[in-house]
Amino acid sequence: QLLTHNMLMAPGTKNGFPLAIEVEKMETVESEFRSEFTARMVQKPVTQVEYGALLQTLAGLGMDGTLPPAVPDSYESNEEFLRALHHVEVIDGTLVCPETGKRFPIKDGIPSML
Amino acid sequence: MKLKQLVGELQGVQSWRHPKSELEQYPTPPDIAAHMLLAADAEDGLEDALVADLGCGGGVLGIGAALLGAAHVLAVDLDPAALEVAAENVEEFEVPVSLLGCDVVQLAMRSGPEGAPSGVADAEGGADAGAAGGAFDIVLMNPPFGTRNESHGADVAFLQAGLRLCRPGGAVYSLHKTSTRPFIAKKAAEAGGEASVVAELRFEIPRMYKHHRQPSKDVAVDFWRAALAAGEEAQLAAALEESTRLEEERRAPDEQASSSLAAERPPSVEEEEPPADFICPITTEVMVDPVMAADGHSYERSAIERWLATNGKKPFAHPSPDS
Repeated sequence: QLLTHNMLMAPGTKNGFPLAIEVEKMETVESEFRSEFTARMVQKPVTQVEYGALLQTLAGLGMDGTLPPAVPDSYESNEEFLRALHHVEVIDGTLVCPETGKRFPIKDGIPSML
Repeated sequence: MKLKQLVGELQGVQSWRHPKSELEQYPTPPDIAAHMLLAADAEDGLEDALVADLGCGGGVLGIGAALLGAAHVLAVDLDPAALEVAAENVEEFEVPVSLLGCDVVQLAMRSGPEGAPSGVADAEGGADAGAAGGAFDIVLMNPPFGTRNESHGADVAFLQAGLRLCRPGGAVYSLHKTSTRPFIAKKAAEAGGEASVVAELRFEIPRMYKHHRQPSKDVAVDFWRAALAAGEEAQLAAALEESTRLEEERRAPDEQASSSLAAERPPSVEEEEPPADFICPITTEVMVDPVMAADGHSYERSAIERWLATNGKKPFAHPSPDS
């Protein structure tokens, strides 16, 4: 789930985030959406570079339209983006560490960083 | 949700089909899990919380947290077979639980919006200088007790990982053998944590593995709550460095009394007598400093001492588990 992905770093790294996502199969899950909680969880990218990586991830998931090109001040009011964070699940794919290039598979919705 | 109802729900959580003794896999029984969850809810609040279940196994703690209102749970385990069972359970319960295959000790998460990443200590030692805590409101765990050769030090490593993953003000709830109580207290303090024993439980372990000789064995287990003291990130970094070194040296477990009970370990059977109540009969609140009276029941220390003083009897000392 994107919400979790947003927080993940590659194990054993100092700055191995955000992990790039290569999607093979994804799903939109209908579940209870808690807007305040989701907004609280959004990791605000510190730099434009990180934000660029986030945009790329979203593009890979076909969600380009949800975010503006420059780092916004806040996401709380961007409900489309927050909903996407919450409802989109990558079922099969790969996470790639930006620091080491290491690849971690995602299978049946479970990433494996072993 | 009441205790009985929660226990009933959690009885539906499946556990391992083929537990692995080298990973010290023992399911957390529904009644123990329920007590842990209700205590966490009472003290820190699970409603709308971001929760982690470290070493989740079948996911009973994470699923229980979601049932009590957690907004999102991340359940982590090393064993793909355990995660498979956890996935089935999550689907069955229809709860917002994400699963992750990862070594808990290696797990690195970005911290909350106001903080920098809390990267794992690297080989040279010392966590990232910008580390300002993790993101979780509550971390739950029933960790390996570190009684097997392969899992030596795991109990402490898990606890330290939990403290690292908490946001400032967050809390870790964990289970550790009572015989390691002073050791755990020391390690938590070294990691910049304030830790206290919420209650003492007794696990009855049924014969699960080939190395189990008796039909069942009783083990005294402490239920701990730990939280980072404010401004202790530097100590946490130092503790991470130390534990990384310890792992590499693989020192003999002379500090841990647990080696004598190496074979046997925790979690019990559902139909057995429930463990020590977390609630003091006098204060009707979760106990902060439980002591056992001569009648075999546990009470809040301040409450029972007051009662005994009023009733003209001498107060007693808390029996040390090591004596």
